[in-house]
Amino acid sequence: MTERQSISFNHSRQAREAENILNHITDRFDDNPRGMDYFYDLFRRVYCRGEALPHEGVRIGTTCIHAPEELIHAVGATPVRLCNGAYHYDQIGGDFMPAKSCSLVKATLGMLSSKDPVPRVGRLELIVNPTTCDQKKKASAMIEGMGYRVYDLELPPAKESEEARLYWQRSVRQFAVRLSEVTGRRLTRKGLKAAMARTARAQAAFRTLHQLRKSQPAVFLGKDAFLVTNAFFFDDIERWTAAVEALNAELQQRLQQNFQAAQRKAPRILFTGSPPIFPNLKLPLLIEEAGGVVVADETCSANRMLYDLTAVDEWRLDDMVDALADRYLKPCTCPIFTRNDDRRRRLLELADSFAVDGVVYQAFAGCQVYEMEQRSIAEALSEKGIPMLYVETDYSPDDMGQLSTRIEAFLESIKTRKRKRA
Amino acid sequence: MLAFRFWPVLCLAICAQNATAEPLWLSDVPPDPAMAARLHSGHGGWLEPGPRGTFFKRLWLRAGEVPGTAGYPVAATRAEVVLQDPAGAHSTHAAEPGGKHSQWRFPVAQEGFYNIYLTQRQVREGRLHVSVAKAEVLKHSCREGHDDVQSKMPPRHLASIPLELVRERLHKENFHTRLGFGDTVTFRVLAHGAPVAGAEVTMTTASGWRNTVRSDAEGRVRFTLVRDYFPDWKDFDYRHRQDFLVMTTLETDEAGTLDGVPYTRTRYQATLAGQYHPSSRDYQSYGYGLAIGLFGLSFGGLGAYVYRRRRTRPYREVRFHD
Amino acid sequence: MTSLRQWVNGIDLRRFRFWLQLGFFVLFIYGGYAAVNLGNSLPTFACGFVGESRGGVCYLLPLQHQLSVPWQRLFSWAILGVLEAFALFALWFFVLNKAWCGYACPLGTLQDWITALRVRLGVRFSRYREAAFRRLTVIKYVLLALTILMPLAVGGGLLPHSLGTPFCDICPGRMILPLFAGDASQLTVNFAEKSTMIMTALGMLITGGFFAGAFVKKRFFCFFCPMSALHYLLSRPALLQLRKDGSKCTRCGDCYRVCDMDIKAIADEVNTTRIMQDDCILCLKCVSACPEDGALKATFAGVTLFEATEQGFIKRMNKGAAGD
Repeated sequence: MTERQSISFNHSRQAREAENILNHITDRFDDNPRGMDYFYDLFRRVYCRGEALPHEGVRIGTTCIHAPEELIHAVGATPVRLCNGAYHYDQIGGDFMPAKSCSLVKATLGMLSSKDPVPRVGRLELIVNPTTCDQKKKASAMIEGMGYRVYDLELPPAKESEEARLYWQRSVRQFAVRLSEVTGRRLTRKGLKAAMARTARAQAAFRTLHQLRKSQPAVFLGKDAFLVTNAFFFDDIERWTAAVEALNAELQQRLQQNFQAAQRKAPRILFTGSPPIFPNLKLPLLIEEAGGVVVADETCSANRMLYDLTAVDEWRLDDMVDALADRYLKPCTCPIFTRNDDRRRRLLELADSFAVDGVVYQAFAGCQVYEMEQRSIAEALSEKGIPMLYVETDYSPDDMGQLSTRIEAFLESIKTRKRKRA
Repeated sequence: MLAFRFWPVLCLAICAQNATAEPLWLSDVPPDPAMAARLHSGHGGWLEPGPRGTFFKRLWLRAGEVPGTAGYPVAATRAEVVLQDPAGAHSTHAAEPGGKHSQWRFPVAQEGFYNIYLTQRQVREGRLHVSVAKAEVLKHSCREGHDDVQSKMPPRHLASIPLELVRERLHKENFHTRLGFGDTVTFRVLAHGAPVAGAEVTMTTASGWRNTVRSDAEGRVRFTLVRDYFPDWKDFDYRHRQDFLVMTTLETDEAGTLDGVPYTRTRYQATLAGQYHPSSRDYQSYGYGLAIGLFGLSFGGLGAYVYRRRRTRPYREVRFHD
Repeated sequence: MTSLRQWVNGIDLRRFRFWLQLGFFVLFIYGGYAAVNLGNSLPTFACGFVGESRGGVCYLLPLQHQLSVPWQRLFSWAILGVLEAFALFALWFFVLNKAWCGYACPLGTLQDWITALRVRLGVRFSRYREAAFRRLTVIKYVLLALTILMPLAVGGGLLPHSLGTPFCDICPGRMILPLFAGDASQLTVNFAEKSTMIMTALGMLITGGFFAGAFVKKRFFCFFCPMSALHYLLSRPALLQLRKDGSKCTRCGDCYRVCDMDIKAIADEVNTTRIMQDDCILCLKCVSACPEDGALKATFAGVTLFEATEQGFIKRMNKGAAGD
């Protein structure tokens, strides 16, 4: 039997997939902000070269933004968001998942079932799986079967009622207790305050970035914005915050110098729906390569992750934990809940304040909730005269050609509209 | 402008119940229920409502030492009435005798204390009897507000009055203060504005209890109002009003003539009536109040605590057995 | 101008409120010593039983007194006095709206101090369930109705005179506020008549319950306050208002989280601009806890005084996270 030479990671197909996208991001566009170099470098190291992420303490994986990260930080652990965007893992997951499953879940499961997956997060003490959509819920048992310790964080199916609020508060409190058990550290007021302060700083930095993207013409491109927020999944929070603050300063300067990141007449797009996760930044890249600019988004890999801020009335442990629970439930616009009034209003408000010309709604094939919501969203947007492009896609690169045609057509129709109205 | 009204003289009975020894005093307690029905209680006693929100005070002449049983005589002789209003201005009027019950009505428009002195002079057996019945009337309506109460509180006296009793105010007294059982009341005996030492002052309460004290060097006497109201608890009326009468006499060697009748000695008698009520200590209990308050606090506190504790304990399962 | 606006929108509302509340407390309890007299129609619990040192009188006391006069007097010339006092009350109220509750009321200030004590002791607060909230909020209207009807009944001879000031008999302000002026005489149960016995006993019970309740629930008494009910009836045309721009609201519920009175409508109401509820004490904590620019604001005669801003929120919440 001949010994097969093992291919080093950075030559593997998986790494090449990531490198491909990253090169698109860096090379196909002029004059990227220097503040982005940190992020390009980070992704190159982690995704293309497969370097391990330096972390302190216990690592706890999360599969959804509903898991309160501040609690994880407060017990001295590091949260790592496991949602995966690699087609490589999507294919692996597809071996044991039903054919019509959501690519994101397939990729995540594929990653977890692999030995030494990339990004190299190291050993996960616990994986927190909030009971959100069907597929994630069922994934719980599967992940356990792969040898991980899983904690089901029980999320209520509706968020309007008082019962749901109390149910979620209890879930979060019990989660805090479980975290203490796993890490062996007690949750203290000082610890939680410090953790919340760190997250608040990150959220403030994100908000500044978010506000900067309102500028007309755009000073920052969506492809970079997605990269920045995607980095939050696995990067050290303080390094990330410092990098974003440096980026904000640079963008502020660029704004004052009237820098244009895209053409003056570039259609401003609001991106919503299933989250684009690196390396699956297919759709935003297509939009921007076709001449549009993604100025805002409503996805859980970007805006929704960091936008809402927590308000605490009494800085005592009980109120702080409940305040966190409220922040993670009440403003959430995830389609897994029964009603989507908040999501509609959020989209309309973003469309208004960012002077958006059109909305691109991405739904992964198999994602029942996003697919079902698209009609009501389309109606709400058309009432306000905002055109929407509904794209059903998955992680495979096969539909890139078809998608780019559709996107170009969409952007063209927007430009025509604007010219007509002008 | 003061107006003194007299009931039409039906029978001018010269010899009325005006027995020589009986002290004369002024009171605002009406003699019959018909009159009482028209009156209205204010902070200082009974008031008679007039047109457009004005009020009048009606005072009756009383004869008899025991306030509870004193009669309503007809004034037999001419009297002199001096009225001093709260601002200090005073005026003198003559009052003719007569009427079923001698009474005087005057408007009370200002807030504060009015002093009324009714002086009757009569010579009997060569001695001039001067009887000065004084009434100190408080007029206060809460509608007028409570600014500047303290400036209107101090008692006033007149230098022209030969003998009068002045009630000194209690500590921090205001318009709403009522004398109650157990209160020590201080009076001052003044003759023409100057204090009289060694005068015998007698206080008689409603049911006839009396106490006689001599005034000190500054003319002051102190009395403690005794409780003489012992109803069944269910009949207890905390606003039960009783009157007390304070009187003093002064004998001098002044001689002269009155309407042609000579006299060689003079005897002055001054009276002052007042009202007292059950003191709040009779029916207000700090003990019960604080006990109930503490009970409320602890019951509420304990209830909240138990409720909160119960909710942190694990859910108790319900099981059936047959 | 913008920098002034920014500074105002970023102030530490907690400290501002603490000093203003303290100032009003001193004014109402001790103002009489400085010859301050703001009259008898104040729309806040500046208790009339405090004695000569008070700076003004709570409107409910003269209202009950005025309504308990005999009917033939009340429904003739005395009604003018009632209307005049009410007009003065409405005028005072018109300026500050329910901020009288959140910033001026001595009883409210006392409750806030008790809350601060509880926070310092590390005891967590209690909230009402929504169903309980809806039921309890009716009590203040019932009390307001009784406050007006019982004196009227006294005037008509239907009730004994001792029930002429029914609310003052049970109001904890009468027992507690004179204590600050050195007067403990209101802490008694009055056995003179059956009605006074019941009312004063009830009053002492409520006072005890007031302390227990205010300790675990923020602004416990304000739920049941008839003055609050009376305020709400007049609150629409008032100058100081709480306004919301529903389109900017993300329904994050931060305002609901910090509200002392547990008012959910601030967070959930996105269609109207007028969101003041009958329980609101206009403390403006919601505005200071809102992270969206312009979603909530306090306006005075239409001019925005204090607005929710993202930067203001970040400054305030981080201060809480750092200090405290």
